[in-house]
Amino acid sequence: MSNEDHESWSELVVAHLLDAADDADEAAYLEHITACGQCREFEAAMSETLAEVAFAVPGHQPPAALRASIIGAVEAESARSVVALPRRPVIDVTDDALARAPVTSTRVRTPWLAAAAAVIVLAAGLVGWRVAASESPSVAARCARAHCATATLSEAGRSVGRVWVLDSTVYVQASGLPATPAGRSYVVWATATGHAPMGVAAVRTTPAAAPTKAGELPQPVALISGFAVSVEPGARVPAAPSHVLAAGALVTA
Amino acid sequence: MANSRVRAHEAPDDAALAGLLATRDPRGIELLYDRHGSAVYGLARRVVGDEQVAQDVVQEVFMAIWRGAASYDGSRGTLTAWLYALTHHKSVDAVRRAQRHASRRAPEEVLATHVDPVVSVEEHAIDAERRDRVRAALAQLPEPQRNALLLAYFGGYSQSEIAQLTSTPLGTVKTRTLAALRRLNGMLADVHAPAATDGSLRADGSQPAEGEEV
Repeated sequence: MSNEDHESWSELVVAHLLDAADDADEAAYLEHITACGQCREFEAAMSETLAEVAFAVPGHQPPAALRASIIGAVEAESARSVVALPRRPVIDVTDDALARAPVTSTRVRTPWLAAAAAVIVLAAGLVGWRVAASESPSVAARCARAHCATATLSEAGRSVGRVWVLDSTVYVQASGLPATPAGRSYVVWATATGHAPMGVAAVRTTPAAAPTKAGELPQPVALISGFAVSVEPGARVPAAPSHVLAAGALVTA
Repeated sequence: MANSRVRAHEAPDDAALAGLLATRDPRGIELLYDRHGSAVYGLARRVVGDEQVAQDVVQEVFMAIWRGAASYDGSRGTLTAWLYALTHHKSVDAVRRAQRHASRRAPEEVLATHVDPVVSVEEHAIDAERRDRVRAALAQLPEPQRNALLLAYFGGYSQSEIAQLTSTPLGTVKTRTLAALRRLNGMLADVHAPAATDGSLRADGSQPAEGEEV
């Protein structure tokens, strides 16, 4: 599909907005949308129209308990967020520093600092794909017990990998993709309605590699609609995917 | 422009709500819920077909808005559009989980959406007016286009599934869905958004011929 063929791109945008795109179309959409202002504008306009379609059905007053539950949860989170937080450590994220330090040295334990870890991964790029492989065999089992969210990564209708989200940590396996080409990396992207694709981590892998930790979610899992994998030059997470290889919707068990 | 699609009397409220949410003010969620809660719940109920699951969806939606508001990208749509897109997405996710348990709603039930005469007694008059306007627009769509759109939006069917259900080539389903949404955009914009004529709402610059059916 050429970039000039915007009739076809418009079809993909609409399919995406309706959550009705097949995996290959979703991957093509993700690759295209970040680079095409015309399609982003079209997407914004069509999202307004779809919001109107919601009004084709009558509204229903939800139970009062639901409002209380939502407001209570929001106020509880708001109260937690104003509790004094520990001072954020200064972490050297230069290439040299990362080359010297083991990847595990950037791991953090508190939920608040998990966001800092995500920033480190986003900014500094490459995660040693096999560094944490020892913890991978239990990922699927732990996920099954925890009913965590998963996504099957597909390329042209063929399953090539899988993503697991345990708490806010993203685990990836790409058994159907070739080994990462020399001088390049695979970048894992999280997608969310209303957001451009968000880089999670740059990784290197082989088809035989076990599922392993890629990075922390850039947004709460409740916001994430799917994942994609692109191939990128070097070892950094770029601002936008340049060539999406596979994608899939996030499904909660 | 996209933001102009929000009806004029609502735009300031939307902006104010977005401002509250961006500063992590819980009143933002409270006001958003009071303004949209019944419509969001109505949409979720329609898509998932189960009150308890719909309530779970609504809770997830408003918590997602609360947690993601600070990084919300307004250039990709208004807060209202984001709210209903999230509701749709999470409802479809719930439907697809239900599909795995063989309890999905039948296509015929989905397609009755735009003629469903049920109106809740508590529904606000302005919402009723809005519903009538959207239904009138849906009714003007050629049936194949309308069915493609409704099966996806209210049924949670993928375009491949719709192609199978309607014995139609996948490419035709895609074309029909795009045509349906474009027509709706034009019809609804004619009523409420003067900016619809500025061309920005038509990414490819084309205008389907009157009465054209794909």
